This record gives sequence, structure tokens and C-alpha cells, in this order.
Amino acid sequence: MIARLRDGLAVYFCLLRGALAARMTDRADLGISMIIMLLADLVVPLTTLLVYQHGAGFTGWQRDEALLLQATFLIAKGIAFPFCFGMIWTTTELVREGTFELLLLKPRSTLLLLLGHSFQPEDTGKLLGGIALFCLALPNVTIGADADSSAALLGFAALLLLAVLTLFGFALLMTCLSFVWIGNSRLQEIFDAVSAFALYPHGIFTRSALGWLTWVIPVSVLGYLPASVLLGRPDPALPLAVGGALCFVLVVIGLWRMMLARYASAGG
Amino acid sequence: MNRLLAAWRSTCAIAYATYQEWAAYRSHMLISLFIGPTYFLVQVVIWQALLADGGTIGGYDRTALMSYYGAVLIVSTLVFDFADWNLQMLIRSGKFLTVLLRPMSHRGFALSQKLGHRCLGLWMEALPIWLILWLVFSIRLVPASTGWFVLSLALGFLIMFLVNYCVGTLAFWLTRTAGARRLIGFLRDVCAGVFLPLALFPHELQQLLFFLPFQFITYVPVQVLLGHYELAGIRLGIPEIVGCQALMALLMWGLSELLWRLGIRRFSAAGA
Repeated sequence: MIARLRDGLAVYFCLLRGALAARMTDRADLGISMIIMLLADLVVPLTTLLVYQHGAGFTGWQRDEALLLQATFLIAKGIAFPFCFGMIWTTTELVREGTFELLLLKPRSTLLLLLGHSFQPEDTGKLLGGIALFCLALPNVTIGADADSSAALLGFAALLLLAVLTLFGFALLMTCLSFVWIGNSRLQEIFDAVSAFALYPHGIFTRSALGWLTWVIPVSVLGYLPASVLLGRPDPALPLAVGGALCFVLVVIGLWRMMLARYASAGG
Repeated sequence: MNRLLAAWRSTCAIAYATYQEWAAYRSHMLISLFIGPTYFLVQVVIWQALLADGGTIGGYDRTALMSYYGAVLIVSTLVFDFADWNLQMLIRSGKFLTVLLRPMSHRGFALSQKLGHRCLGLWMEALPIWLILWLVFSIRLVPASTGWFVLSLALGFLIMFLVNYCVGTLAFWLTRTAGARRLIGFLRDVCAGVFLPLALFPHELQQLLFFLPFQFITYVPVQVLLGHYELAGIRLGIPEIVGCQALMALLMWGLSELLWRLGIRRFSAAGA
């Protein structure tokens, strides 16, 4: 078991090094891409700043608390995107060209190979943006409120991990869709649109919308829930939301296995 | 006259071929019917929460903001373009050589392609989105003056193409332009008022934006649709701002010609 794990990790890091080396051939382009990844994701926080500057705001959320929520989502994206989201485009292209079989023939997990091949270093720009925003907002908020701040930090770290896992689930779901929706390069846009809801506090949504965002499409774990735990006011729906997110990831992994089994080459 | 007629026929033929080609990938476009309204729904929810007490922000109340974002959605769908990606791909792959052999300018060819692509987008994306905005969100966008709006939209369409075409010519100088294209595309959208009405930007920035081509892509057609135009305290009538738009289109045409002439000297096929 340990030997297999070690072997898998060795293969993964080897692929990762290859992907990084390939991308490093155009260093200037990589640098610019990282900057744009950082800037593009800062649009919403900048809008939030402008809105608060004009005297408006989200009820119950101070400016820096709202920024902290958005920074949390950016950090989760900054971790998940470089490692997971490249596989959507890679799979779309491989399936369209009919070369996905080459991965299936290799004596290692297809998912592991896909993840290794699809590493996108430019997306680390999102992480830098998220960390910068987080550092900017953190000194101006109270961590844990009345509760123990170290417990709040631990809870935050655990939920951030869950957010990254959920993002992996979203990436895998989009990858599964690329087997059915041949050559569709806009699959990630579906996620981008849905995840836009993750950037705002729950108080602005209606009850039914909250249900959807918590249990059906687990968007609330991506930003709101970790941030609210860090601020010491965990949402009552937290345990259910965590369960919903874990179920989502498990269902998507099941779907991935089914899609791989059903894949019939040249058109899925 | 004969040359103009021949050029028009070529334009129609290329536009029709592109239309047919993209009609084979209908689902690719139909995704817009989910993505566009979803982003719009996010805006509805946010501004409903922010301006719940009937307040205003930068002179916009909630209804005005919803109309603005609805109009942005329609206009940006109609002027959508990826000429920059196409041109850099041709240069980078060396396929550009075959383009030079054709008895037509590449810019004209690419513009014709965009025309065909957006004709399909008109009924597959823009019209359904307009209906969704009306039937689901009760936002009925009717141009204050249809003639001026169509003209402004056509000019916005042209300026978007020319800006992107200029960006595409960067491939004559750079090996890989993905990062530069993304960066310029992002700044273009910010400065065109896609994410936020330009009236909410700091005054000094608004003054700068007035002289850049980006506001003429989305912000101006949107304001023409809504029936009034103001930026950086400059209030212009619809015919005046559309006149400025035409001037900017001419300037961008000149700039794209200049970049083309400078760039083509550097092109040596198979590796540019």
C-alpha cells in the first residue's frame, strides 16, 4: 500500500516537473499570465471596496469581513486551480483528438496521470492574490469572536481543505462532462458562473437559494462557511453543508469511474 | 464600384461559411444561455442586498443598475470577438503563410468571419437572453432610439474587432501571446464597463477612460440603448457620442493598419 502510494507520488511529481519545465520555456508569458490570474480574481474584492466606499454594504458584514470571505475563496481556488482545473481542458482536447486512449493504456491511474499532465503554474497567481487580500483583511477583523481563536483557526483550516476538495470535485465533474460534450471549450465557464455565488455572505440569498447553494451545488463551503467559522459565527447549517460537500465529491468520483468505463473513443 | 461589390460578395460568402461552420457547434453557444443569466442573477442578488433600502450608488438605483447589467449582457454578447486568438494562432503555427497567398486582406477576412459568427450569436444567444431578461427578470430592454443603437452597436462591434486585431498582431513580435492577450482583454473589459458602470470609478480615471477606445466597445452602446450618456462629468447627446465612436473606429483602423505593416515585415513563416 505504502509502496504504491510512494510510486504514485513519484510518477505525479515527475509529470509535474515535466509540465512546469514545458511552461517555463515561455517565462515572460508565464509571468504575465500569473499577473492576470491575480488581477482577474481581484475584480470582485475591488468592487466590494468601491461599494463600501460609496456607503453601501452587506448587512451584518463589515468591509474587511466581506473581503476576508472573498480572500478565503481565492485561496481555495489558488490551491485547487493549478493542480486540478487544467484536466478539464486536457481531457476536452484528448477526447476531441481521440488520443485519450494513450492515457488509458499506461499502467497508472488515469486520474493521476491527467492531474500530473495538467499542472497550470500560472494559476498560482490566484493564490498570491488570495493571500495578499487575506493579509490585508485579517488584522481588521476579530478572529473567533468570543470563542477560542485557535479553535477558529483550526476549523478554518479544515474547512479550507474541504473547499479545495470540493473544487477538485467541480473540476472532475466538468472533466466528466467533456466525455459527453465533445470539444466544448466552455465547460469551465459553467463553473465560473455558478461559483460566483461563493463570493458573497449568505444573508443576501433567499431561503430556497441557500438550500441549493448548500446541499445541491456545494458552493457555500468554498468561501462563506470557512470565513464564518474564522470570524467565530459558524452557520447552523455547517454540519449538513460539510456532509453535502463530501457526498458531492464521492458522487463525482463515482461518475468519473462510470464515464471512464463507458468511454468508447473517438466521440465518447 | 465593381471592386466594392466583389468585396461585399466575398464578405457575405465568408460570413455564411463561418455561420454554417459554427452552427455545427450549437451547444457551444447555447452554454451562454446558462452562463449569461447566471452572472446576471448574481448581480440581481448582490444589488438587491446592497440597495435594499432604496438607496443609490454613483447615481444608480437598483432598477437602473439592473437595466445597465442587462444591457451589458446583450451588448457584450453581440460584440463578442476572438480575432486576437485566431491571428496569433495563425502566426504561431505558420499557417499565416497561406493567408498571405489569398487575394483578400486578412483583416477583411477575419471581420467577415466575425460577422458570420455573431449573426449566429444574434438568434442563438442574444435574442434568448433578451427574452430571459424580460420574462424572468422583468427587464424589457428597448432602445431609446433604435437607429442610433444599431449604429452604435455596429461601431462597438468594429472597435472590439480592431482592438483585438491589434492585440493579435503582437504575435509578430512575441513567441507566445496568451498572457499579454489575457491581460489586455481583462483591462479592456474593466475599462469598457463590463464589470462595473464606469460612473462608479474615481473621477480622474473616468477622464482617462473617456479618451481610450474601450468605453466605445460596451459602455457607449449600452448608454445609447438606455438613452443617455455621461462620463467624467461630460454629458453628450446620442448623435455626438456616436460621432466620437465613429472617430475612434477610424483611429483604431489606422492603428491596426500600422501594426500590420510593421508586423508583416518581421514575419518569416514557420516560427514568425
